Amino acid sequence: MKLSSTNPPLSAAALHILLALADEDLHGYGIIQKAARQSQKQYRLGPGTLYDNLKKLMDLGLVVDSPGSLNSEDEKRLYRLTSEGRAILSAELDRLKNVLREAELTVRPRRPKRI
Amino acid sequence: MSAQNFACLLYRLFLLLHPADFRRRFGDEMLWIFDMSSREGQTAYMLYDGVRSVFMQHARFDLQEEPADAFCLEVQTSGLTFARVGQATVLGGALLLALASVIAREMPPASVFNQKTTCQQSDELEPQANLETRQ
Repeated sequence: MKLSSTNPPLSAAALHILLALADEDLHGYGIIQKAARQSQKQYRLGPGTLYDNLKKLMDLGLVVDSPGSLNSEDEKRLYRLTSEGRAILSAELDRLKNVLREAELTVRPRRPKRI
Repeated sequence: MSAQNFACLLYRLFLLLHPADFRRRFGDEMLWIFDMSSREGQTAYMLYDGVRSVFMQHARFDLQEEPADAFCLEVQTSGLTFARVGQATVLGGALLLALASVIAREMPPASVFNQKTTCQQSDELEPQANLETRQ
């Protein structure tokens, strides 16, 4: 996936998955728990939604299987954010910051006009 | 069979309805997460997510198929395979079974229906006799 300014916004699930993997490799359940923590338990990610989005992110090359976890059968598969995934996440966070800035300017109460 | 086992069986069924490639790749992990989340009391949400996932996966699978050369109004029957009908039947049956089990749990015991008291008879009964039939 090429990084450009015209990238479509990430879905909430994709954003939470990339955000959860930003600082460590995690297995599926770890991603679900971390996404819940990040959103103060406001956003619940089910396994179906998780792996549906994870598959799309892996197909796009934004997330890969952690190399170590593929060798051992006992341990769960860990997922890792690629450098491209990190760049997409960073671009999305910048986009959200801009949205917030615009929103704050729009929503801020106006001063009453002096007559 | 306990409610938890039944829910687990239902979730396995939902997993079976996912496309084979997706199931092979993520099925075991999804089942593991279902077990972990069920211990935290999230069984109902997991089942909902399982059903939703089945529909999402098949909808995407249908969208990825190459469109047939046909007019807009032509009915495309090629997507309605025997396997697809079978999966829909199993999913529908499972949902009906779940619904039936919930209704059965809420129903009063069969003894209530065996009492042959009609409106007319109950009016004729003395209050004392009415009490006896309830006991």
